[in-house]
Amino acid sequence: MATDEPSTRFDSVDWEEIGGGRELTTNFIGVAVSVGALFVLVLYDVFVVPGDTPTFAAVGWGYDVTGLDWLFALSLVLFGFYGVLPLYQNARMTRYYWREFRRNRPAVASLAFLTAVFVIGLLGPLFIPSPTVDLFAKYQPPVGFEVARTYVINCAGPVVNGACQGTWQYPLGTTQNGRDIFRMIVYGMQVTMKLAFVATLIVIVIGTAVGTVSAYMGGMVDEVLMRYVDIQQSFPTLILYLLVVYTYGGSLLLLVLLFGLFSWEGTARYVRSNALAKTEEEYIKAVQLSGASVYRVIRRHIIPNTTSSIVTDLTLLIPGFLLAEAQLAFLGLGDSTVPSWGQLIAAGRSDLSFAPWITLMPGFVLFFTILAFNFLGDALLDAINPEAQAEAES
Amino acid sequence: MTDDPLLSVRNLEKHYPITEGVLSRQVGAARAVDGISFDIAKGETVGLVGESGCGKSTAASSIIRLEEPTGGEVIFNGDRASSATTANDERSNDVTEFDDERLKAFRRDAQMIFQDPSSSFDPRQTIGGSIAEPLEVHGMNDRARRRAIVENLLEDVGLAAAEYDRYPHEFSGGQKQRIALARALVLNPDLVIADEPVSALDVSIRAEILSLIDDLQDRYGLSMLFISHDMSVIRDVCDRVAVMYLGEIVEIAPTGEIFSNPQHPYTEALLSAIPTPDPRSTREDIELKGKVPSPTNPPAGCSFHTRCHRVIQPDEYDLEQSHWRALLTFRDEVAEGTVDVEKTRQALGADAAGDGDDEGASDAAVKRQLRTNFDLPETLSDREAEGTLTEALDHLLGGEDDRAGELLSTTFTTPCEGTEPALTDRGTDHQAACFLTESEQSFREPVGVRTD
Repeated sequence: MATDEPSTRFDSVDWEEIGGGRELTTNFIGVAVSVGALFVLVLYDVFVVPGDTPTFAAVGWGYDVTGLDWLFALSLVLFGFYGVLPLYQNARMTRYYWREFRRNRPAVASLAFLTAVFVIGLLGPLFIPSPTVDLFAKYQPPVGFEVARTYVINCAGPVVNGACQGTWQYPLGTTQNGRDIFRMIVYGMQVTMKLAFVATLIVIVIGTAVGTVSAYMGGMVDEVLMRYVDIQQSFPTLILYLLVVYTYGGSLLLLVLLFGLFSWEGTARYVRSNALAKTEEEYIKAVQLSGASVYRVIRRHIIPNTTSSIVTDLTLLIPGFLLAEAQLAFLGLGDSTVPSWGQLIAAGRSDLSFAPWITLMPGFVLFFTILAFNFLGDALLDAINPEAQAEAES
Repeated sequence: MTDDPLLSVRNLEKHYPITEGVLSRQVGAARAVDGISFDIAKGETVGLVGESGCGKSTAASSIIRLEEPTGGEVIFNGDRASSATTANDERSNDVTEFDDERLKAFRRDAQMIFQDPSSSFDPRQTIGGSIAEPLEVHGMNDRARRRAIVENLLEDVGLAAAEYDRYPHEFSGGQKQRIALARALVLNPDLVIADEPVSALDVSIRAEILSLIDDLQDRYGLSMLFISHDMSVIRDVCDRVAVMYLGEIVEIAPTGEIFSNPQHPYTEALLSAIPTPDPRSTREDIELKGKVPSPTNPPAGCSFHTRCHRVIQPDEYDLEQSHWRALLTFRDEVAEGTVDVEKTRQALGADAAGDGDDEGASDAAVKRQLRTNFDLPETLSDREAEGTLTEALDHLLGGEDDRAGELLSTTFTTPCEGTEPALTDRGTDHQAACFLTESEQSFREPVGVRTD
């Protein structure tokens, strides 16, 4: 080419001068920078900050960041750059999904509810003080409820006919040691979010990788990976968990890791079956013909085209995690230091006869959260499916 | 530039192993492509034609190495490949031997268009992204430049640059084939393999796409391998045609030559399937009878003899050709044990029952019906042949299927099933693999083929 300006005609591209190397996308740069920053902070937390001082004591924030928090932050970063940012980048596609999604009213309500849980869970604990033990304020009823005067020591509201009425000071009442249930639910939301995000991150990464690689490579790779999935699927995770609790004591981080590392088999299988159909498509052949690497074919084509199955599978998986955590907590096998909804439900079980709200309030929130995930999964499956629309149009 | 053909395919084979059991023991092979050879010169369009399942598409994907061929050579002499050879003479230009690096360079030289426009684009990628992807794979990191190239190219194939950001489902089949052409061209290849590029399109759109292909080919000096099952499309586009049957090339010749003077009965049958616009045309269609043999177990000798309407008679008989064909079909089915006398009798009986006759049909009626089923005449013109056929029918009705099969197999044989005919010259640049035309140079009387 005589000109300095690179040619924009396909037949006069000088391939000798084209360097190669990988193009860095905004998303990749964003993830790399954020993860790098996180990593530096983790190193700071581990090596610089003394053991029991809060991580950010230097800037006056008295919260000691735990291992689970770091993982939570990592999952938020990935969710932001690979989940939310692409929606903004492909605005037309997003608007189309949204139009499809909007038709399903319960799903829109569910999305609003889950967004609220997410935002409150994430930011609430920064603004709302943590619930403290106050034995004089035990068994306060929620607004609109009442309890016999004999159960409470100091009734915060008016006493009518020997019954203590609920007040807005404790909108959802208090527990047997006087903790404000509303605040506990808010703090529980964060636990729920951590559980959902971190366990899901692990499942999504391993499950998708195993499923798509297995489907695309086929042959021996497929055989080995799927037989391993068979083995892991028949592994009794609950017993392993009990063993771990017995040996090291219950901890939320352990629970989340075990959930994540031992429940991706179903996702892998499901993703594989969906990816198998995609690998036979002609566009995959066309991409192979362009000389693309296996990684590129899987990352850029097979994974995006199995998104609908991945997302649907996750919306069914997350409720499973939440329920499992609540069940373990109810059985007293959870992490008693963490204010999860399950702990709260368990805490109220001995007072069900006269103070049912202690169990019911977090129970309802858990119930609605799980219901919302199910509705959302249903609607997403319908919305993220351009083929279905193409068929409808033609 | 050299005088070598751009692409030389030599004895290309693709056999799929058939395995059995836990240990995946190989028990056989499906010979999808069984030793084909042809050349494509620079700027030439070669057609590869044949019915579904004859191995055309497998041949294409083996040539371009979407699948690994199991044998043979594919010599590619593109400009870039030639310069690579001068740089390092030890490396041959055999595509089947390319390592990863050379294969990736070869991807810039040879591209492909697929049959189904609806599945050849990633539904989650804008079509601009799909076309630009090969550029990105080959290291063009300048996003703006990629976009400019693709927008220019979109205009070349008759679409607007503004369509860059649209998704595949927003286009019609014809538009998608234009986009597919753009994607195939974006790396500026020397060779484009088009696998039935218009067979999924409406007839009206077909012509547009074909003329676009023609246009682009002239403008950019492309060589093409054009795969189709439709002879009328082949006639419009190709310079030379190779006819494939059951994994082998049975005839190869310049397009005009093959249409005016087909030297293989299969080519003749394909040609007779082209619709004629003239309603007064008296041409008769050649209908190929019998089922397509499986490539796992191709017939001995000429693989087409089981369906050939011109299957050769031995010297001792002088039957009408259609009767001889019917006789051989009858022989094969009896030998396979697929002729069910009882069923024929019951069918006849059921018809007769309506007339109040409860008795099963008589032997004579059954024999007559069997002859009708197989298009055999009441009596064969050759007395000796007729005698054998009658005897065989007697055995059949007597329940001795094996004897009937043996009798027919030993009596009626054709030279076609003995040895495999080789591709032999039939004139300039014209080769065919058929014993009949090898000896006689031409068909005795043209059946159903217009020679204009």
